[in-house]
Amino acid sequence: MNTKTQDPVLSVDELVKVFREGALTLRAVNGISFDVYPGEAMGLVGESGCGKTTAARSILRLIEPTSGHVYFVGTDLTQLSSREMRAQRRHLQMVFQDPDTTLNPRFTIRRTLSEPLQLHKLVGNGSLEERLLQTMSRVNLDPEFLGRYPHQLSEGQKQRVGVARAIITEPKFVALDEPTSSLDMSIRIHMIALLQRLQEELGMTYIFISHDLSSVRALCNRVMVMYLGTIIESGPTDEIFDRPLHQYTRALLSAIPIPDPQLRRQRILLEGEPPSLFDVPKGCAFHERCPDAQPGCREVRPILRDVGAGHLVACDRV
Amino acid sequence: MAARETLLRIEGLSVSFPSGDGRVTILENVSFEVFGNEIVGLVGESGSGKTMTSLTVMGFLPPSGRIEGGEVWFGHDNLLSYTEEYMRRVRGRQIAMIFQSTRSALNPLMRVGDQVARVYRVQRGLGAREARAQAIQALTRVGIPDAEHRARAYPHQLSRGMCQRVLIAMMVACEPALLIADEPTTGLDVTIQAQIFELIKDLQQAANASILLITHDLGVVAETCDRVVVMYAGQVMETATVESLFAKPIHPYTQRLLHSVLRVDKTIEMPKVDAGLSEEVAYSVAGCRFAPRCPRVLPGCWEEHPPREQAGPDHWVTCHNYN
Repeated sequence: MNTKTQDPVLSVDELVKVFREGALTLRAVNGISFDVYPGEAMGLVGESGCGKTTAARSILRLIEPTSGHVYFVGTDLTQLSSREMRAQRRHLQMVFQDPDTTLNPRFTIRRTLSEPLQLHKLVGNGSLEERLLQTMSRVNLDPEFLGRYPHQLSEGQKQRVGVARAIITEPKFVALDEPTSSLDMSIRIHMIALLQRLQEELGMTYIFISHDLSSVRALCNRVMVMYLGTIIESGPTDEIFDRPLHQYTRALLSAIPIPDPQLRRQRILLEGEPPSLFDVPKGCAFHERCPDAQPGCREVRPILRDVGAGHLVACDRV
Repeated sequence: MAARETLLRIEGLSVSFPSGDGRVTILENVSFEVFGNEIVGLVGESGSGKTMTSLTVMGFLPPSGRIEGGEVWFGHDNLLSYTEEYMRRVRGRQIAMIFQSTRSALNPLMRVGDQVARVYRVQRGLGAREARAQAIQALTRVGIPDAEHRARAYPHQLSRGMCQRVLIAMMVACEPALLIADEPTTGLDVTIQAQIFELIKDLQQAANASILLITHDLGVVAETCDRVVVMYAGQVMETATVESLFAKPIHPYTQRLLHSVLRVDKTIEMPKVDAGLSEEVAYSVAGCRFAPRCPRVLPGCWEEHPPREQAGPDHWVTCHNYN
């Protein structure tokens, strides 16, 4: 996918989200910058608490970013009034992790899917039904399900409804937050295949947030790895998965079990657990757990720099 | 391989639950063994019956569940014939279980060190001082740094990974011959998951114990287990050594399962046909419950449950297509 000659769909510039709790400040997203180009599926990976979901929510202004800019096809979303932002929402959608908490249990699927269309005044009375049927068929759900409630559907079907709700306004950009995590393996692969097909059909651009790196490998053309609120490595998917440079990325990838008993791998076992976001260490945030840390890593925060072929890494040891 | 000691033998186990006006057989004719000093993976997707199998072994079947037939042999005892009072003595000392939800398995009002010490007092009859010393040793063994200090923490003050280590310390205290671990790393990050599995394997080898590991993750199976039991819709489809199962899966369900695994080490081919509509599990089929999905279904599959046939050393399959 060579799209870099085009303008980015989404351009994130020094985005920061700080939460305050009494005297404590938590820097959930600590200055991240990146571009996503048309037709890309950008993976955003990292472990719980790394800030990936907060980043996505700040980008879509589901929560207000503390500072920084988010340009969506040239418009700075952070500068829009809430009315102007609402008008943009049909182009910027999100699929949430847990359909059980994000689908209204008292709404039929019909009502859940009709709402965004009515809200954005996208249909007259006649075309609503047509649009619903078309969307159901796009996510491969029986149109009969329109009359059902979420509890009458399986996990996989509910997640398809979540996808249907996001794509029914035909958005340019969709943030997918762990859409496969609650699914069984054989369902998961079909969800990825579905997302791939929809992306091609509707020409959408994705950010795919996940801790499930095998799903990311299957869907995304580029990946960013987050650790404690910052991007520590990014690049083309195969490059990151096959030639990871940051010690954290290496450990993360080596920790994922591979379904092949013949494969004997060298696992990098990290010591301890990620430090608290209330107490991010000085210097490189990863230095306390890094097998390759040097005294300098404790002092200076490494910046993300290009090491060739679009591969960026924030480590002074590379 | 020398003659193996059979630690656990489940034979023709069937369990039903009420559903609508009738009963649905959640486990049907389940049979498999766990030998001494091995890790057996029990794999399957939601609704396959893997958790229900382990609850039945532990004597934790919910009251609405009914055992329709079969036996659960632990050594020379059929556990299904024992009273609750006797099972209480089996649990812990002989068979212990780690559950999915870590935090709810610990008492939120009790310091974790005291919870581990209590196991030493109840199961081993140690005095308070000795139990406490042993508890701190156990916490150290499961990799909790500064165990003496952490022993005074309450569960909510520890991370989920640490809570899982505390639970494992309680298992270590029991020295069970068989540990049933039900998705023990659910909700943990992969780097922490890797630490926990490394720990479980080390402890298993040190104690010559056996583990029945319930998981849906075939990667975990490939890297952790010696043998595998594959379940679908309450039936055992195939049992084999890990090497044999991944190299030569025989049952069409196992083949489909292995084919649908996404991998982190390479890009795999995506399925052409979208199975969006067909994921409900067919408990009502009288024969093989995979029949509605099976690409190689035969007329007899719908009516008659296939026999368990040997397909190789340590490799058994339940499929009419075999032979």
